[in-house]
Amino acid sequence: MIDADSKQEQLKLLLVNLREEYRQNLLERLREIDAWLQQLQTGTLDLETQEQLYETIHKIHGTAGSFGFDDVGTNAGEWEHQLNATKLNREFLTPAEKILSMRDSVRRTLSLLS
Amino acid sequence: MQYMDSLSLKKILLVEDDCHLQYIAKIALENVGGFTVKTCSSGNEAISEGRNFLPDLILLDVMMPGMDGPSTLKMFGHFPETAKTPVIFMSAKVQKHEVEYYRSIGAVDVISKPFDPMTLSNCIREIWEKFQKS
Repeated sequence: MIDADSKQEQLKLLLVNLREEYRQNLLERLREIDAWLQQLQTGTLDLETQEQLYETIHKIHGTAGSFGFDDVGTNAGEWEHQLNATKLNREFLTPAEKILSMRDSVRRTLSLLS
Repeated sequence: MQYMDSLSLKKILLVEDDCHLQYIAKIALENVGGFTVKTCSSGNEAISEGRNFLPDLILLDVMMPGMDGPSTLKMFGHFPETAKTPVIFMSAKVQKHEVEYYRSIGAVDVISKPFDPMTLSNCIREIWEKFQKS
């Protein structure tokens, strides 16, 4: 019979595995965000992908902390805020220097996770 | 009384489009909270499943592609099976005016994202008990 402590231990182990799985996914998403920001910088990111960029960042903001990546979630919250602040209709008119600074932040976050 | 209120919360419908968060929340709610959890990845799916599953409580993500949380909540109100089911929103946007808006459209409370999976069940029980007493 599994006692409560052992059940708790099993759950913790499962959460550790889920955290690693999420970290791998996060690395992919951050690389994707970096590529999209580069396109946003050059004005070649279509509206649909701009929306996808925003949704991806928003998800990381709300999810990363639940897997123990609090700093990543906080950074994503800042990117989300910066994007939102420049939204006009459906388009993100983010100034070039802001995009550069976001890309720096995305890359620093990536190196923290790698 | 508190014990009875906790006992009556058994079935939770969890509506979350992020598959990672959905999975970790389900595991936590089942293993830590002992709840029976049905998961849905969209508002449309939740409307359909909610009418069959008959949850005691709905945990609803605010920002989802397609039908968002507030629209889904409104739709729940159109069906007798879910019209009176309490809804808790989950959102990363929890500034005072945002929380007030969620409550004004019928949510009993809001859980801030990200949440700690290990304490999620207790947080829900607290909201549930407060709701039962209100």
